[in-house]
Amino acid sequence: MRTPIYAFASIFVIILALTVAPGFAAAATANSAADTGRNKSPCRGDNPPSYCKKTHD
Amino acid sequence: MTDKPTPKRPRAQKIDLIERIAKLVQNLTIIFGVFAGVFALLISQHDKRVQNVLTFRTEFTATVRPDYLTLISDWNSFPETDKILSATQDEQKQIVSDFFAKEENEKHFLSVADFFNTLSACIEHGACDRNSVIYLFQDTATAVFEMAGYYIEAKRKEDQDPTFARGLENIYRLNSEFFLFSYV
Repeated sequence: MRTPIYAFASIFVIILALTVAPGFAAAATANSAADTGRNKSPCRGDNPPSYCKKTHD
Repeated sequence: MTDKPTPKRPRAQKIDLIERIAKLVQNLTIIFGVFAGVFALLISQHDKRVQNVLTFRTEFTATVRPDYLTLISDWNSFPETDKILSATQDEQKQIVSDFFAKEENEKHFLSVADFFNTLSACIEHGACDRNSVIYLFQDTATAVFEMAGYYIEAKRKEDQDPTFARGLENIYRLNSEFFLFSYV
């Protein structure tokens, strides 16, 4: 009885992976190519403004 | 006196078993078919939302990215920004204000802000995938918003327009959602 469930789950995971993979690939490419000017951001200084995100990477 | 049920013949028993199995297969097919249909629909909708974001990326690269690169480059080469990391908040405001006093810088910023307003509207109306936007655009939004934050605040006050560069801020503050939720 379990075999169809496993088969169904496997198909679902494969479809999911095929759907999501192109998006992640594109995102990785875009991020690696991103050139930012964040090194001179006021948010990275000693006195960050209130509009900055609290968590900063 | 009660009648004893007559035992089925082996052939009838076989047919009975096959019928039961066939019924089970039929029911399982219906159940899985319904789920598969729903999943296929959700996946195709998600795919469309991701495609919309990729279309935005193409548009960004073709039209807005030059403005963005010029803005960031001009900001990095602006002499006063050398001391921005150690400056007080008042000094930072002054540096940002001086930078945006130049009309060209303001023009580049408005071009980027306008693009992000459209992109933000796309997310709010559920036509664009939030996680893809974060992957593709949040770095850009962060670089611009963190640099221009004081200018945006001042402009909102001056024009009494709290929606100024709202899209840029929305994408800067966007939090990613659990990937399964992005399918519904």
